[in-house]
Formats: sequence, C-alpha cells, structure tokens
Amino acid sequence: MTRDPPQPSRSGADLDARLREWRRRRDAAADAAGRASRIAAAVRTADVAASHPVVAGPDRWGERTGWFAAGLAVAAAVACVAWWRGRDDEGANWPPSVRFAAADIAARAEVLAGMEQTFAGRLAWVAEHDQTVAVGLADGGVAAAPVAVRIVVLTRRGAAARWEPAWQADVVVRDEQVVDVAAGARGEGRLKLWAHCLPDGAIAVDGELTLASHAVPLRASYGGVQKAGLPCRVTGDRAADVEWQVIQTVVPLRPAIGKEVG
Amino acid sequence: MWPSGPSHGLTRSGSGLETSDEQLVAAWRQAGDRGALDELAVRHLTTVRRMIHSMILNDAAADDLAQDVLLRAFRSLDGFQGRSKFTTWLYRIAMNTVHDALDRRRRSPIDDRAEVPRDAAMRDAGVGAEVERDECDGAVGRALHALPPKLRAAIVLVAIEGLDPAAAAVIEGCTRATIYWRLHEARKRLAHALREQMEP
Repeated sequence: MTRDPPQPSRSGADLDARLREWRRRRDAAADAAGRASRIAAAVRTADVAASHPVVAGPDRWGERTGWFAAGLAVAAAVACVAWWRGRDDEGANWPPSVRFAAADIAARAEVLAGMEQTFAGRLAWVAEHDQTVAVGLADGGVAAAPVAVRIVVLTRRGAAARWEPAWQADVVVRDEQVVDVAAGARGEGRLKLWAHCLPDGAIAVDGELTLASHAVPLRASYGGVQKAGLPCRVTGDRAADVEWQVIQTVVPLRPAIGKEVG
Repeated sequence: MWPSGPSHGLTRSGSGLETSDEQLVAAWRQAGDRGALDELAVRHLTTVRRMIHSMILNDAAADDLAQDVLLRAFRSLDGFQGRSKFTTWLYRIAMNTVHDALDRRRRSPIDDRAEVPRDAAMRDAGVGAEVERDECDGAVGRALHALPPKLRAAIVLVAIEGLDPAAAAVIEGCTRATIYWRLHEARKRLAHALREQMEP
C-alpha cells in the first residue's frame, strides 16, 4: 500500500527555502569546499587496504556445502514460521479488549464533541490510560478529522498460548497532530503517536512507546499503514521468559459512530 | 574547490560517461583500485560533511566525523550488498555516526561542541543588512539545535539535502510514515522558533 507524500504548505516551502539559504551561507562562511578538500587529502593517505576483501571463488566442496547449509536454513525457517503461525493464528489468542466496540466509539465521539466546545476548536488530542485523561491543545483551531487509536500491550510467559493485557491506552487524535503524553501508572513512560488518514481509507500511524514498570521494560518505535478497525500487531519482543507485543486498532471516529467495528 | 580530474586518481569510463558509484565499488573490491575510492570520496565528501554539519552544528566536529565516516565506509565496503544505492548506504553510515556522536555528547554535557551563535556575538560581528542576515542565520542554527536529533535528521535529509522521503526512511532506519510525521513536527517547531524571521 502506498501513500501520497504530504507536500509542505506554502509556509513550509518558505521554511525549507530559508533552511537551504542558511545551509548555503554556512558553507560559504566556513569554506566548506576547502575543508572537504583537506579531509579528502587525509582520507587518500589513510590506510584502507588492511580490510581490502580477498575475492576468491569457492571450490566445488565449498559450493556444495554452501547449498546444503542454505537448504537446511530454509527448511528450519519454514518449520519455525509454520510453528509460530500455528501458535498465534493471527490474533486468535488476543483478548477481545484489543478491539473497539460500537459503544467505545460512540462514547469517545460524545466526549470529543463536548471537549471541542470547551476548548474552542483547539483540541488536538485526548489520551486515556491508567485511570488518567490527558488533553493536548493546538496553537490555533484544528478542524482535521479525528481518529481513535487503541494501543494494548499484551504479555505471556513461557509457552502459554493466551495473551494477557498488561497496559492499554485509548487516544483520539486529529489528523497529523502529535500526541505526546506521559504513560504508565506513575507517568514514568511516554507515548508519542501520530496518525494520518489516507485517501483509500487506510490510516498511517507512527508511535513511540516506553513503559518502565510493567512485566517487561518496553521501548518500542513503530510505524506503518493499517486498515481501519482491524487490530494489528505493530511490534513485539521477548525478554527472558516473558514475551510481549503491542496491538493497535485504529478507527476514523465520525463515520464509525453507531457501527460495530473491529 | 574540490580536487577533480584524473590527476587525483579519478576513474572515468572510456566513453566519457561517468562511472557509477557501484562500478567504482566493484573496481575496488575486484582489483583493489585505490583510485576508485578517491573518486568516491571526491564525489560524496562535500555532501556527507554538509549533512553532518547540519546535524552536529560544529565545523571542527563535522570535519572529524566526515573523515571518520569515509574511512569507516571504505573499510566496510564488503558490507555494501548493492541492495540500495551507494549514496543511501553511505548516508546511513554518516547519520548513524552522527547519532552516536550526539548520544555521546548528551551523556557528556561538558563536551557541548555545537557552535550556536548568540545574538550579541552576531551583532558585534558586522553592520546593517549583513548583521540582519547573520542574526537570521544564528536563529536558524539555534532552532535546529533545539530540535531532537531524529526530527533534525528528517528536516536535514529531506528539506535541506532534498532527498526523497523514502530514501530518508532507509537512511534513518524507519518507515516513510515516520519520516513524514517527523518532518511535520520539525517544520512546526522550526516555524514557531523562527516566526519572527519568517514574517514578510
């Protein structure tokens, strides 16, 4: 799936031009060309030959061994993938709370409508986690469509098949606004999130999540395009015998009101 | 000016068309042609140093790091598989080196080598329109310095160096969408910091 690159606005283009002008003037003032010449001279006299690769063709035994090893590696990888897919079965073991229900969506749309009035159209995002609600305001009015994002951290121990929710955040964010909020029960972590609705109905989301006080110290940076309403594993890892993953569900808010999604 | 021409060990094809970076890499790997490395340095050092300076905002540190990046790249040409353009691979090494340097600097606050001009110093340096331009440049430097490194990298690669966001994503080891939001956020912060300079 591809997306149209967002073009800078007129003010963005002016800013870019200002930055390039700054760059040009800095190069002239610092004699960047002369400096580059001196570096090139130093590089020319430096020893890089020590690591010059020795290119040698493999002998027949080496070639055969290589193919055999490659075949073994492919077979092992296929077996691992088959086992892994059977174990997870694309979210069959995820708890139902990773999805948005119609009531969730309706409630958030209602809260958003009320808060928009309170903040005179400057409401950029609302984040709800750990019994806390945080609000972000934009400098000016924001009218872009809101998106609801649910992020659920799931963990499981050892060989258990069932995933258990360890942390959850629900965010409503307007298109292209950046959520930046403390996360975790004592605010020791951080959640940053950005969402952008694409013309084909999919949604591009990028996130950075740090949680320190949960089953595993989690530090994840992820991004990608996902379909509205479908829970999606965005990242995951294993530490000792604890495995964790981050499941994210995204729904454009207003069109979804009153419908079961996810 | 940059040294150029065959006297500096440049490798040119017989037809007059410039040999590609990838062909130069192959010439080094297969025959140990040192001239091929010199040509790669000539072609890319200016951009690499400029990119590094925009990130690190210090001329001496940019010189050191640019040299380090070139040597590191040349010593690990084995690792260049040709799956991306040579420049993408080289710029990735450059940005990784810069991020490492910025991390080290953050852990050692005493060694803050960023040359961020102060308004007073700029005012002492000249008069009239030149002073105004210098103050404006100083403001740009300070605004870039205030950006977190990841946001700064996005704006340097795409807005200043003019790279495609897809290439910037490969260099920064993230998705294109991530580059878009970092650009968006960086432009927003820079516009706020430079609002006085941007006014017509």
